[in-house]
This record gives sequence, C-alpha cells and structure tokens, in this order.
Amino acid sequence: MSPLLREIVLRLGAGVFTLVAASALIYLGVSALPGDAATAALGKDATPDLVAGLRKQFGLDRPVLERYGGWLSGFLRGNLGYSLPTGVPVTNVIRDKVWNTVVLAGVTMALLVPLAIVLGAVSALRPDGTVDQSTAALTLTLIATPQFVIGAILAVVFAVWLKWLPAVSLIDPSRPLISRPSILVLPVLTLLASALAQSVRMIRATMIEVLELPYIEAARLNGIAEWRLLLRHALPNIVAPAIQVLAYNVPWLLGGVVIVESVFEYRGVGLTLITAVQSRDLPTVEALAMLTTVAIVATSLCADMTVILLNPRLRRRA
Amino acid sequence: MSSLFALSRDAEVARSQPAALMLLRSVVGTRGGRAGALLVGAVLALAFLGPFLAPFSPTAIVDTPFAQPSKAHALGTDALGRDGLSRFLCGGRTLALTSFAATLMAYLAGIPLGAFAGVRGGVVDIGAVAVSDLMLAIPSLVFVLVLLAAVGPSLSMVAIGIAAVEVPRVTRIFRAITVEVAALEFVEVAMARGETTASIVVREIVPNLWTALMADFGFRLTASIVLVSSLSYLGLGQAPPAADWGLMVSENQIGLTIQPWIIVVPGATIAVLTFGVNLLTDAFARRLGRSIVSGGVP
Repeated sequence: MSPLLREIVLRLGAGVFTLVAASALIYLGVSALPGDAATAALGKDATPDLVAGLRKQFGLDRPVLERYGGWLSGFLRGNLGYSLPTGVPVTNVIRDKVWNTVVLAGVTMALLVPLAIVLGAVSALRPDGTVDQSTAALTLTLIATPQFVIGAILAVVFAVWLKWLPAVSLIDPSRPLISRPSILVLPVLTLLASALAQSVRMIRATMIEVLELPYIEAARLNGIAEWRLLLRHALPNIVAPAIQVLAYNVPWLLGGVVIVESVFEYRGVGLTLITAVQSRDLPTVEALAMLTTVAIVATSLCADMTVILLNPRLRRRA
Repeated sequence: MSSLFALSRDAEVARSQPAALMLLRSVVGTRGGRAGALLVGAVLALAFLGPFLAPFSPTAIVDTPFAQPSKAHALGTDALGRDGLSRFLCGGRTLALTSFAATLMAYLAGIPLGAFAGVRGGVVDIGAVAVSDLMLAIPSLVFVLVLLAAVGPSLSMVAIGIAAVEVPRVTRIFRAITVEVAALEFVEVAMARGETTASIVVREIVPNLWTALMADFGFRLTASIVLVSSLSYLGLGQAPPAADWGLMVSENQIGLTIQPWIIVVPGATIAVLTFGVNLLTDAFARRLGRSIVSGGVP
C-alpha cells in the first residue's frame, strides 16, 4: 500500500472509531445517569406506575445494550429516533432547520477563512506593529466574551440605536433564506467575532514561526520584496497549519451556533436543541449531539485529508 | 511547556519564596497584569458586595415593566417591573461562585488523573489520553446540554457538567508536564526507592505543578464563566426569579428596543470580567514566554 493511501485509511479508521466511541459515550452515558426519558416526560406527575407504563411504551424496559444497538443501527439508516412526548421522528423535526444552520455556519466559515489568514499574516509580518497591536487588543477582548453578550450588544447597537438591521432573525419558511440577507448579518457577525479572535491568534503564531525559518531568511537576503516573500514563499507553508486551525474552530463554531440561534431566534438546529433540552426531550437531544459530533469528525477528517494531499513528500513517494 | 517547568525549577534554586508567589508578583507588576487584576477585582467586589448595596429586593416589583432609567431606578426596571440596579447588584455572585466551583472540581479530578497517567505511562496513560481526546470531539456546550437534558437543569448540575468538560483538558495539560517532571532525577530516585505511584504523585510531582496551575487557571476560569453565564442565559442555570447577569439578558430581550440598558449593563460586566481574567492570563503567558494559544482555549 502506498504511504498516501495508508495515511488516508488510518485517518478514516480513526474517524469511524471516534464516532462509535462518541455514540457510546452519549447514549450509554445518558442511560447511566439517574432519570430517563419517561421520568423526564412525566415531570412532577410521575408515579411509579405511570413511569413503568411509559418506560414500556418507550421501550426503556429492554436491556441498555440492546437499545444502544438499535439506536446506532437506526442512525446509520437515517432514523434518528422519535421526539418526546409527541413521537414525531426527529428527522421530521429538524428537516427544514438543518439547511438554515448549514447556511449560517457556511457563510461564517466562508468569511472566517480569508479574514483569519489575511489578519493573521499581516499581524505576523510586523509583530508589535500597529495592525498587530490593534488586532491583538481586539482579539483579547473578543476571545473570551460569551457569544450571547456579543450578540445582544450587536443587536442593541445595530437594531436599536442605528436601526440598520432586525434584532431578531425570524425566517419565513415560504421564502428562500438568501432572499433576505439582512437577517443573516447579525448572527454571522456574532459567530465571526468570537471564531475570528481565536483563528487570527493561531494563524499569526504559525506565520511567525514560518517567517523565522532559514529559507525565508535566505530569500530575504537575496533581496526579495516583503510582499512577495509573504505570498510566494511563506503562505504555501502555512496552508496546512491554517486548515488545521480552522478545523479546530469547528467545535467552537457549532457550540456558538446554538447560542447565536437562541439570541436571534434563528430557526435552526441549535434552537431545536435548546428547546429539546428545556423540555427534556432526550431522544432529540441525543440525536442532535450525535449529529454535531458527526459534523465535527467529518470536518476534521476533511482537514486531515487536505493536509495529507497537500504534502508533496507523501505524493512523491506514492 | 518546558518553560513552565524551567521557571519553577529556577525558583526552587532561589528558595527565597515559593515559585508560584514570585510569579504572581511579577505578573501583577506588568501593565497588562495590573489592569487585569484591577478589572477582575472590581467585578468580583461588585458581585460579592453588590447584594448588600442593593436599594430594593431583587425580586420585588417596584414599578411598571421596562421603565426608563430614572433617579429612583438607575438602570430602569426589567420585564416584570423589578428594579434593574438591584437585580444587577445581586446577579453576579452565583456566576462567580459557580464558575469557580466548576474550575476547582475540574482541577481536583484532572490534576491527579493527569499526574497519575504521566507517572504510570503504559496502558493507563494511553487510556487517559484516548478518553480525553474523545471528549474533546464533542463541543463543551453540547456536552453539558446533554447532561442537563438527562438529569434535569440545576445550578449544581451546571457546575458538575462544566467540570466534566474541563477535566479532559486539564488531564492532558498536566499529563504532559508530569511526563517532563517524571524524567528528572529526584523522581527516578523515588522510583528506585520503591515508593508507590500515589506517593510519587503526591510528594514529588504535585509540588512541581503549581506554576503550570497558575498559568492554566485563567483559561479554565474563562471557559467556566462563559459556559455558566451562557447556560443561565439559555434558562438552564440559575432558576428565575433569582437575579443573574446571564438570565437578565434573556429575560429582558423582548424589551430590547424600549429599555436596552438592563441588557447592556449585565452583559458588558460579564465581558469586563472575562476580559480582565484574559489580561491576567496573557500576562502570565508572556511572563512564561509562550503564546496564549498553546494553553488551549476551548
């Protein structure tokens, strides 16, 4: 087997293993905790008889490993389980919301990548220069500010004081999301603010490391212009780390989506998750947590693959 | 990480005062460190002294809902007509205490785990790293949400959930430092003497982890503050009608256009707190000569 292929197979295997282990952690972890879907659904009205009846109805009286197996195999066939207490399939609950969340996260990512690379590279070019110091001050402020605070303050500034944008992003299901870009601006801006702070810092650090390497010094001594040095010589070497940095931001971004969708009442999967947690609809919560993990593992796999394919050393030997 | 340990080793040679205390002094001596300490101190003073200064009961209805700021009510009133200032003054204590408790629990579980895995090596080590990595594949917020859905939302579950999220991160960092410390002569000597792993961890390793703990503390605390306040915002932490900064933002969001102050002030105060902790953490990182990123924000 060529080294390229072996690398790819290894990463794929690790990804599948992570998913199976995460599913076990989520499903078996929840079953091991006190309280189950039946007691959660009944709330204060729970009597032992009622709970026992409901447990039987939900199939909770079966052994836990059997239930886990059924859940996992259902998941593989696209059956995410049934929402409580209505019994509606989770797939139906989230069907029209997945796209909204994908648009929100996708637009954010599409803006995050170029912005993070440009800001990070420019900051690294002149460490402690004006751009670097102002970016550093901004990232230091934003990096740890809770997203709901950023969102609420942006809403006050842009919706209440300036009156430029709507304070809530209510989606009209009968019209395509893209036809009203104004409702996307504040949610995207909020997500971008916190994700950008982290990415810029990490890309700046990587860039500084690359710029200190001997081959850059040699190029500089040969009289190559700074901008050319950056674009032609340094940038190709930060592509791989930059991809990793951005993939590293995906879990953070998805956590942020949950908050941002709640702040702006944006009808997406994150808002569904919060509603499900509030009503203790365990099957929906488990399914959405698993979907999030799938998305994270998939993006990290894609990032790994891209890095492997971009590495000429592996290509040559293959 | 090497610099972390090098610093504590240098300090040990000096022996004039404990390394951690020396580091703390030098950090507060820098401009950023001093600013951070002042901001954190101010917000904490507000959070803990505020309840004694509140002019009204935080749960008493005193005026019409969303009344504008006035002489009687400096921050106006909230969605139910309760005094905004009193709720603000009373709303920080739970956040500070819960975040601190979560961080403390994470260290109490994570440091022994990391130290044990680092000293023991082998299967224990691989197992600890694998479980940590697995938990890092699920976003912190989603992990805590699953836990809250299973057990039912409450403030103590929020603290436990956040601690559980932080444990793998703490374990990884302290495992790495332990591996470094464990390679040194005095640990080898202790092993040769036939001391048990537990005794080596407690007597040889843990005393060398203080510097790292102080450098890492800011990251954990910030992550906890962000999570605790976000969960309160989502209505899953502090239960109403009690006052809480995160809860105040969501409770009053419907009145955003009429009375924004009651949202902006508590929100901005949380931001000042995390910013202050971050300034302090950054000052630590600079003092130890490493980038803030390698500490691993969530």
